[in-house]
Amino acid sequence: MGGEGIARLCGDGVTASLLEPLAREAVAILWQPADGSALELLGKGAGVDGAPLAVVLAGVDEERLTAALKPPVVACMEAVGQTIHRAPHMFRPGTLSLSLSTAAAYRLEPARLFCEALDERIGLQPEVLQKAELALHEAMVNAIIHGNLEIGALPKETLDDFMHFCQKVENRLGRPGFGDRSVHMWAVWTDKAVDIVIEDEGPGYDAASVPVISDDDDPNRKSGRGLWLIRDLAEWAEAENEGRRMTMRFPR
Amino acid sequence: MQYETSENAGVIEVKLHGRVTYSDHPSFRSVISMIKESAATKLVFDVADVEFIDSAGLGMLLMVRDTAAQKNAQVVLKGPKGQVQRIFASSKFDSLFTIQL
Repeated sequence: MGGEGIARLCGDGVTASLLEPLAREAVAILWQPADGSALELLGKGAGVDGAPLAVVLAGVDEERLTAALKPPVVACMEAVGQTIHRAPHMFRPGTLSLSLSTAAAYRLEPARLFCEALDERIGLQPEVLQKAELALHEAMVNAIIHGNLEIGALPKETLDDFMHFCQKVENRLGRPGFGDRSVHMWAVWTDKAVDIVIEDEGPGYDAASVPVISDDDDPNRKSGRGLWLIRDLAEWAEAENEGRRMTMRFPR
Repeated sequence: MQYETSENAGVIEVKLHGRVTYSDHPSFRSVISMIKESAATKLVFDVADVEFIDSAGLGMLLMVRDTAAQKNAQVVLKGPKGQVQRIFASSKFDSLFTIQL
């Protein structure tokens, strides 16, 4: 948001007081009635028609998130209790962003919904859409597991290993300071390409220290394929912000 | 992911539907238990109705293959399409499984 007051702000299932810090920066404050009827203007008003729309959504589930990501929304942020998982950048046309708690991102697997919302705005080739969805999904899993939940690479050679790993994930998701961290994803596009970015709030890692498996590596490997898939699927992919952010580029 | 299983003449068929991701490990646990208890010599995973599979889903299919190998059973992946067919190819699954298009 950056304090420039460029967004219309819409609350869905949240209290007006929770919106207050964001509302100070918004040009208009809108309200989504529970029956899904037209947005009501609660306050301010200048630039209501032209400014991009940001939604703060409580009680997120697949159906409500799908609805919240419909155009002309440019940003959707989950509210949990008194916390808004707030996008870390400006809201502007030509972008789409989604910020969720780690727990919701793990439960909802939102890469499909996000990529479908992106496709609705800019129209992607079917094959590019499939590649973007899988790359974003894999990057999101890494951001959740290795980023926000701070779980390192564990052996996953057997299903018992995998069950143990999943139990550890569930335990961390329920712990304060882990499951309540934010996962942010956003897309920025030009006529030629779309960059999809995912960012976590974990301690980061040294991207150069992660071994890069090549396509002639062991096809029987049962884990550790995610980063290789991302690099294989995207036209270009790079870890930034000390490993907390992954940017992936796809052609339009 | 949803799945149905049937067993006939030494062949277990597992038909998968929807999205196969990290959250499906309980279903794979059930399928692997069934394989362990069966005398089947062939497993057919019908993936024609699978619209999406992630790297964890690939890993779970490899675990199925390991279980089958312990019983000298063959694993066939039947009918992959779209994203599933592409990721099987890029992950060289044709060197590990019989893939029936």
